[in-house]
Amino acid sequence: MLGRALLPTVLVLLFFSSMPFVAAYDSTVDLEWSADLGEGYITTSPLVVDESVYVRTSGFWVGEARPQVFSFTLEGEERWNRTSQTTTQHDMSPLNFITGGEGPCGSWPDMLLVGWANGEVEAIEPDTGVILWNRSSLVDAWGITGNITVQNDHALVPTRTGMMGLCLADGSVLNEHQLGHGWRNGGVLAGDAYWQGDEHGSLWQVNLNGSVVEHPLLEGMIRHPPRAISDSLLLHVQHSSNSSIVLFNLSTLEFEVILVSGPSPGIPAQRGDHLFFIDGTWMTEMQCQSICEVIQRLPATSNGETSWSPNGDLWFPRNTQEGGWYRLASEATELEIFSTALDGYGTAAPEFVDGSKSQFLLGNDEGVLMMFGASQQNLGESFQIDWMLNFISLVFIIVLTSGAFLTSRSDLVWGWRLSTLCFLAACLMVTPAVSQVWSSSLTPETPESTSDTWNEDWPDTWLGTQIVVFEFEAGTQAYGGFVGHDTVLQLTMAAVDEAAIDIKTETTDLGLYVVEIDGQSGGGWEYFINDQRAVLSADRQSVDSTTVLQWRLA
Amino acid sequence: MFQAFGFHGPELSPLGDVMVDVGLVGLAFALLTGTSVKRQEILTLVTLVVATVALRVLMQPIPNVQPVTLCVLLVGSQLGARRGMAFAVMVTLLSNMIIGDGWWTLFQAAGWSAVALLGSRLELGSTDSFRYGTLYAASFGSAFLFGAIASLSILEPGMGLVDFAIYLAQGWPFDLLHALGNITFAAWFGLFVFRSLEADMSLEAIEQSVVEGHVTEG
Repeated sequence: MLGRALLPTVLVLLFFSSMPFVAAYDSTVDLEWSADLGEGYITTSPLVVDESVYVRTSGFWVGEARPQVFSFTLEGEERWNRTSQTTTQHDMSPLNFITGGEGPCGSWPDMLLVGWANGEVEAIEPDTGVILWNRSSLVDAWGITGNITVQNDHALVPTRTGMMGLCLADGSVLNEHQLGHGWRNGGVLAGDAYWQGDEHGSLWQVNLNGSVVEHPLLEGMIRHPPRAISDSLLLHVQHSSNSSIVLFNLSTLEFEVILVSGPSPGIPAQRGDHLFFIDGTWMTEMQCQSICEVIQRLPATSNGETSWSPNGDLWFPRNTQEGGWYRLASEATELEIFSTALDGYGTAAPEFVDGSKSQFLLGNDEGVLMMFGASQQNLGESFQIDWMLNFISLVFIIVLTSGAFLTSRSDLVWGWRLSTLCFLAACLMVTPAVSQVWSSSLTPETPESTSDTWNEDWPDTWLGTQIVVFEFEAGTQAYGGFVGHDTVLQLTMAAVDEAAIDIKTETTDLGLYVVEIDGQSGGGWEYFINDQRAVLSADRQSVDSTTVLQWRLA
Repeated sequence: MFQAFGFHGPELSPLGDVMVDVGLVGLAFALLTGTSVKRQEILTLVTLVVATVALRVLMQPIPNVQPVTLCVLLVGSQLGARRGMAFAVMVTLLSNMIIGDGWWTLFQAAGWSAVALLGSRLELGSTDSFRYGTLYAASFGSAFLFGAIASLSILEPGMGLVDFAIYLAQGWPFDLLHALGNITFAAWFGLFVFRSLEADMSLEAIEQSVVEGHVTEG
């Protein structure tokens, strides 16, 4: 009797569990044009102003190639490009368009403000690409990588070693503050102060009267402009193997850890009192009023930017080999994936074009700028249900209905058999995602770098950066100066790109492993982080900003 | 180590592969010749080996759903530990020749042999009073037993216990999948395989009683 009652219940539960948990994006939007920007990645979001597109490339540059800023028309014709001959590090600072105006320090025309990893800030005339003015800042391995903000007549620039206020009219330095070392950071105005984080976990308060106060967090790296809500700031702090979402109370000046999350956090998005945090494991939506509450957590791997579509959907890139862009529709509880022919690793958020054509621009580590558009429908309507998943669901429903029918006819054996089959099929679908989350939770701390791992033959410019060493049969080759790579695989691919050698990988259920580097496979390749043997697959092991990664033949 | 060797451990040279294969064939022979095996039983075993190998190869694309485990468990239960282990070794050897041979073949053979040994200790009743509960429990546990033994193939000098434990723990979601697959196979085919093997046992028992009645005692 109990079995007869239990089995239909299980079948009903299985029915609901069989519904697609991730609806794929069926692209009814078309690729309108694309432009290969040459070597380098598109690390930050393109920018659209009026009828013009602006985009920059980033990378670790060797040889003659260098990063560029491009301007295109909305139809994909290149208008101009500007190359920095002296930048060799990754350019993570988003482009900033400044509308002309005037203030106490003078008047200025429309301009594109560009921060470079060589420490320079350039104001570029947006129609011609001509330099209006430029200003240098201190470089320590790299220069400007954070988000420049504008306040009245001055630009607030997060430099490598602090913060600099520049007059928009001529680039003259209005103020300069020595803070902690920064990377992909930036400031936000809250109360009577600017707030900016650094690589040592300190939150800096730069008061409008010029005084500076340091608020040290115990550990971690603050790699985004803080998000301001009522009387608090929210931070997604990066640790070696995970991250924490931290609230800083502007009244009591105290930190409070709200939630521990996955590794390598990206830049949070904000819509009113709703905040969206992304990292290597989760997309976490929180609502912060008197207290912060988790609204939902969805499995996702994203470590870069976020953006909002005109109809209020949140978009952010999936930073995995499969790539694509996540979309969280307004009020939705599922993530959808938008795929392109050039999916892969990426950190740049989409840029949406205002207008009736519902156009949007995408770029990722492939370095190809893509313009998509849907001329007849708006973006919300163009998201359709994945028919393959629906077909699978239909099969599930038929099988489960048959099971329920058989059970009701007292044929418990067949009911049980169909239940086990459906449960197994459901588990087969979710196991890869579960496995990834499970592996992340097992991730050991990234070993600290020590002086022992440093080789005196390496150039000083590699100090404080990520370094990759390949121990081939014929000898050792080292490549350094890398910044911003979050996993062993990303760092390895960057080194392989620089070394212009081939690499072969194999994907397994436990992750991705390297089988051949530069034609050498030996007994397999294994990697060591700061001289310590690693245990996770290359795509699941995080690295910090000063990791020395050694690949050795087994 | 997983990073170097992937899932299973190092690949062997052609000579190494041959040595492992010859060793396993020898082991299977030793297990079979150490006990009196009837022609009917050999025929059943061979048929079951071929069918199980084919099933394993066909189901290879499905991650960690292993029809071999349930078959080994039931063969161990019905035909005893020696024949069950011989069956496990032969299935592993033949299927890995198709889907990939190497150092790991030894450990997979050991893992499934352990499952056969576990099966030989089971009391599954008879066709009329088949103990499904016992089979489900053993099927579930077998997945983790096999997973732990097969994972030993990635051990190498310098690998600590913690490293191995992390590696093992990483595989738990897939071991769980293996266990659920075993239960599904048990629900669908458990009784059928059990009954097929029980028929052989009956023939053997009849033959044995005839031999004992007319030759040995007569």
